[in-house]
Amino acid sequence: MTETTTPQTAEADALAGNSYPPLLEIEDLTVEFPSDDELVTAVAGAHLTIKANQVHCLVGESGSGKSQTARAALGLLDPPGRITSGQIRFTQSDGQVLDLAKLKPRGRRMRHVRGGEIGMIFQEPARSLSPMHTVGFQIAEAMRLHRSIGGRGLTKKQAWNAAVNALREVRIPRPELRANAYPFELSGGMRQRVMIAIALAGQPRLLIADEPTTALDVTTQAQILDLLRHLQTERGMTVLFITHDLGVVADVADEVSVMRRGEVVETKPVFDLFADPDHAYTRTLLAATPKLRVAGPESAPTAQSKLGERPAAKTPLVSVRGLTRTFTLKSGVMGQKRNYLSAVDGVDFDIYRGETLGLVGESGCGKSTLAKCLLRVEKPTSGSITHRLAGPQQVPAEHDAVNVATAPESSLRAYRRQLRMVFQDPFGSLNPRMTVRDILAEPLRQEGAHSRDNLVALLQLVGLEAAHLDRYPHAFSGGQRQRIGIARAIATDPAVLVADEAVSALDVSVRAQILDLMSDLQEQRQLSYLFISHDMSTVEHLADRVAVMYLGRMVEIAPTAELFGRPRHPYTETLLSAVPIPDPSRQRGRQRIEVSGELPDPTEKPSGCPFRNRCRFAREVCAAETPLLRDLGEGRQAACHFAEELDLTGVLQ
Amino acid sequence: MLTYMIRRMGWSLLTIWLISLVCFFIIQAPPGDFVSVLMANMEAEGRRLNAQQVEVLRERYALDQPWYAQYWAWVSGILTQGDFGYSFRYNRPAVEVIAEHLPFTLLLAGGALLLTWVIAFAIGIYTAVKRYSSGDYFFTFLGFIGLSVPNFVLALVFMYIAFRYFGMSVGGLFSPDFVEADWSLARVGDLTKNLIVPALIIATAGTAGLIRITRANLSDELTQPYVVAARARGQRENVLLMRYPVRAAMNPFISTVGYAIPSVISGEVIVSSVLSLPTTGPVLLGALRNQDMYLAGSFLLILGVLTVIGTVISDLVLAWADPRVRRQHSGAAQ
Amino acid sequence: MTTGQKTANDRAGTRSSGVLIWRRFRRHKLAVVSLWIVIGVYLIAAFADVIAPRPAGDYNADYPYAPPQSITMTDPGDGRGFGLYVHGYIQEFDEVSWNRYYTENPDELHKVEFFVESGHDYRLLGLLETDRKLFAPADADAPFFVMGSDANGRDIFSRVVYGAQISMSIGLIGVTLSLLIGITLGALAGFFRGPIDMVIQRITEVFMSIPTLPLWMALAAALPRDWGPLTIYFAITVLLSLIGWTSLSREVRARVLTLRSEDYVVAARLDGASRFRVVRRHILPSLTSHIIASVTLAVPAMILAETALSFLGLGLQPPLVSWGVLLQESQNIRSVITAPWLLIVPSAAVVISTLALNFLGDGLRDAADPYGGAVK
Repeated sequence: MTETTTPQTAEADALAGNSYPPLLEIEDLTVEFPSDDELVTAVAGAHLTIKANQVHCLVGESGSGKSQTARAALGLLDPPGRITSGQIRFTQSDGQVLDLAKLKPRGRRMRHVRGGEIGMIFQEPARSLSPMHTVGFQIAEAMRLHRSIGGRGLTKKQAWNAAVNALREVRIPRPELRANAYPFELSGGMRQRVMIAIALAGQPRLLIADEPTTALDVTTQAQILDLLRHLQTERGMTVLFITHDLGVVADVADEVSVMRRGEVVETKPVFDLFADPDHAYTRTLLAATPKLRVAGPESAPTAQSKLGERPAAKTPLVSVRGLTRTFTLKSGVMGQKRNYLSAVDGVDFDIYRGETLGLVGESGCGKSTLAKCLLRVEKPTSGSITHRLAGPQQVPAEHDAVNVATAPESSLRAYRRQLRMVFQDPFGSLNPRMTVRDILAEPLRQEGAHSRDNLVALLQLVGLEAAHLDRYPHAFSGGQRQRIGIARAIATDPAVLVADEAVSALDVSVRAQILDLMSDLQEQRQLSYLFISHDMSTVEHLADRVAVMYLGRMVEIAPTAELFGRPRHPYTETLLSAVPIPDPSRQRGRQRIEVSGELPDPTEKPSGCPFRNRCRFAREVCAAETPLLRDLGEGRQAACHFAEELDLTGVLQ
Repeated sequence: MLTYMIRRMGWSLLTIWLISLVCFFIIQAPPGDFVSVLMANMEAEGRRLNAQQVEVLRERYALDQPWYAQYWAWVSGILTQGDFGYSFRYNRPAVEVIAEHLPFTLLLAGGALLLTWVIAFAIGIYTAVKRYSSGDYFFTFLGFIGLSVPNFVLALVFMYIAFRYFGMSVGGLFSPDFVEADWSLARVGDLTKNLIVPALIIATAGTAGLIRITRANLSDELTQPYVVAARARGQRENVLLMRYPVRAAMNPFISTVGYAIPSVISGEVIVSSVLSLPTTGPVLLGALRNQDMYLAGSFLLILGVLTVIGTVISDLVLAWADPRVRRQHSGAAQ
Repeated sequence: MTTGQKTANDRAGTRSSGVLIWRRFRRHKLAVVSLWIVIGVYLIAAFADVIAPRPAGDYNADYPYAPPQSITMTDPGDGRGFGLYVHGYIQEFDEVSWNRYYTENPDELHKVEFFVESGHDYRLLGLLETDRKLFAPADADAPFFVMGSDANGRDIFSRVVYGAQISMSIGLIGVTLSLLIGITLGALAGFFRGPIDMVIQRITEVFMSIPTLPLWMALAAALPRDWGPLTIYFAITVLLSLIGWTSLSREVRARVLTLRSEDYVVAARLDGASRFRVVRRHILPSLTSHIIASVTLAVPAMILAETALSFLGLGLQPPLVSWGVLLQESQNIRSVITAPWLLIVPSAAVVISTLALNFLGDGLRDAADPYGGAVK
């Protein structure tokens, strides 16, 4: 079962110039998932050496086998997965070396390793905690499993106290109170902190973090990464950090391994990997990742050169003024108590012909509701949407502009042909019971333009083939489905596409292809995009102008280069500072702006400026007066009382 | 939590009101009103009501007035005096007949419900954990047989076997020695002994559905990340199974349990009729066969109300058991 | 992990989800067998006139409570040749216990022939006039009770075959009615929500709270006594469906609620499809597989309900023949002890049919929704 390494090998390692001894050595690991139809090899002979006291990042796209490698180490493969060959050698705290691949997954030794030697945190903190138990209970459970005082197990009381302390260590305010909370009463960031507290309860030598920040907002991600880094150095712990995000890698890694199709293709120290990748796949990956390349407003030629002139000089295609969408939350016996939640709260912005307007903000800021209101999937509570989308042959004068915010559903057909939507979920947005032909024909049925030739032309436009016409959506990959979604959107020859997180569900390389396709289409057809994303670097890559939302309000709108180079709103600054730049030398040289606190509950917005309780510049006037989005010249707008005075930091080269 | 309880009870009051309307409709359905039927019955027995008595009765049930007045007369009688109307067959107020038989019904239905839960939960957990094993197939098959065999057939088969092979005449809730005996420990024991088989027979019908729901829900829970997370912190498999996924699968189970009550009551009615148990079943059947409508309608009303109370309790238990429901309705998140 | 799946997908690329569901269904061996049994039972019901050796009401007063005969393959050597034969009975009458005892008469042999002329004319499927029976004794007056006879000397086998017509059709027609009510109300509630949903939900809840059997009993008892058998048949069917729609309606509502917020339904709206088209073309097709499964599971429930009602004497009445009506005769435990086949044969018919329908429905549900089925 176990083998003990001879002292000679350990010494040999030390002599080989490795500053740290290997803690975990994975050799020729193969993991297979047999099913009735086929055998899926998730990990195919992977080699990986993780040295002690380091943060080792394992990077790869979905399906590359990175998570399964980690799970195999702890015997946590989902059935029918199994390790078919290979060794996973782990050096325990008592110096003994175990081959984890040979341990019984449900045996006592493996249970000791789990939590006691290797802790693990997961991608979805919301679902990784039992919703039926308090977080204190779940941490205390881990404490009782792995800790002892004087050779005896902990009493319930001791375990609870230890849990409260653990919450304090992961920087959760008021831990005594929070220990009694259920997971659903905590924010995503808090839940992940709780998961970290559980994983560290047994004081493990190795922490495996499987995409721990993927489900979190960027500012929360920055906080969690910060915490992990702090705990790692404080405890002299080793971290195996699994991620798909090269920005995160650049931020936290000491050493990086790249996985592809079940194999580790390259392992290098982080700086070397970014500077000089060996493997072609690593290079592709790096090339496909947007770099936040902006050097500053002076040398940024992107937006203007593309449009030829400043957008402000033209009349907007779509104008949104004071758009508000309020939800009523009823409570009380007869529903008499009402809370109002303004998901979108008096938003103003314009979209010009041929431009890409990026819309960024954290989850819950109202960007998706805004998109739904714009398309009238939801009816705005108040405000106006006027447009000049009547088509090229007839350009109405300014006073003819129609307000579609209040127009009846039946009159929206022409508008909806001009303003189309690309959905986030490539799986949910295509009817599984229709062929591609039916899906593409649906918007064209009215004028009978759904001839085969037309549909084939559409498919070819988005890089698919005529042969795909009679297939059902389940036959396509995520990227291909998103192409079909784009084809459906441009079928009516629209002027504006609203893309709500349209590439967020895709892998980096596929994402780059779809973004290229969108750029091509924009050039060919003078399309305008409203590109909604939580991912700042993608927006920076694609958008001409960027709008930033916070708690239902627009806080800043500016040309991309200016916004990223020199933000005028403190929230934008915070957001930018939290975005990890996929370049270790740039990322580590940055000055980080700490954001305090959590995103407030949207039903309990602070008075005045919604950002004031987290803003480091807040003064009395911020609580008293709500700053309006106002013009600052140069096509910039910001909703801050001190927009002109503040000297804020952007993303500088 | 309190507002939730109040609201839930408000809704059930509305449901009970609608049930009472349905019952009233059923009472009214046969041709001829209550008094004329009563007169006809008495005449058949050679007795006669005098004109004054007829008048009093017509007044009491508001028979000369429109249906809503009659409904009100009936309902207000129940609410104010506990007067459910009059049973011709027993020549007694319906409420007395009901009071006599209801306790046994509750006992039997309660026993059957308990058996249903215990069996369904145990087998549900087993089949979910050992999915696609031969044991899973065996119990699933067994459950389906329980679902497909009418329970009166089971009751008949049971009677046949008892008589044919053991020479026992089955029926009734007490053995001959105990029928007239005073309440004693032995009598209670005898009652329990005689209750088990009918309760089992009634339980067969409901278990299959509940097994299936438990199996599906628990299978879902077993693949949840929090189970893997509990495993990853080194917890023992048996402990984590019962502590996390089984606990979570309890919730849909509790909420479905409420809807098992009507099926158990239905089963009780027919099984008791076959086994001639002194519960509401045979009495209701007799009342319906003889168009003794006040008795039948009142039984229906009471069974309906009991079911509604049962579902309310199961909902409240759910709210209490599930912190998500409990905390949401308390409105005091954090 | 993607590579392997993709090739599999390419092969299935042009297969509709219906085809995929059917493929998943075929993996359930038990469900496939059940499908054949269900088809078989409905065929028996359709061709009852051919299959039943005797008409449903035909009786032979000489043979009350006759036990089942066994069919033997032999050659009696009297020139009738090799073939299937049944023995006649010897009867003894016990004056004291008032019981009849039957034993097999070894000397009396009746030949059973296929497609024999029975002398009882009928129209096959309402079209072809004939008197041929699938199998019957060559001598039309010979006792022929393969599954025994009842108190009036009627052939149980024939009656069970005829009973299939009513029992199986009541399930089907009742479910169709339930389905219409259930889909309409469920879809209305799920699609429009708001007050409409509220009202429909309350109504559903009322029907679900009243124990169904007593309610059915009460309503059935309220039916006028002077109605003819056919009217009663339809009335009972309507009653069963009036109460049976609730679970279907709840299911449809829940599915519509989730479907209407699916991205592809929103996309259809944005594509300019009318409300009606959204429901008909985008929502309902996704429902069909679930509906088919639920319907299949509702049919046996309805068959059982009819059986129970008729058994209690509150449902269908003689001269109509349903399995429940047949089981009425076994209400008295004495007659079951004398003639267990009175209980066994119709019960077996009920159990086999409902079991097959339940397995079939279960298989369909699994195939339609391989990952779901959980109640949240």
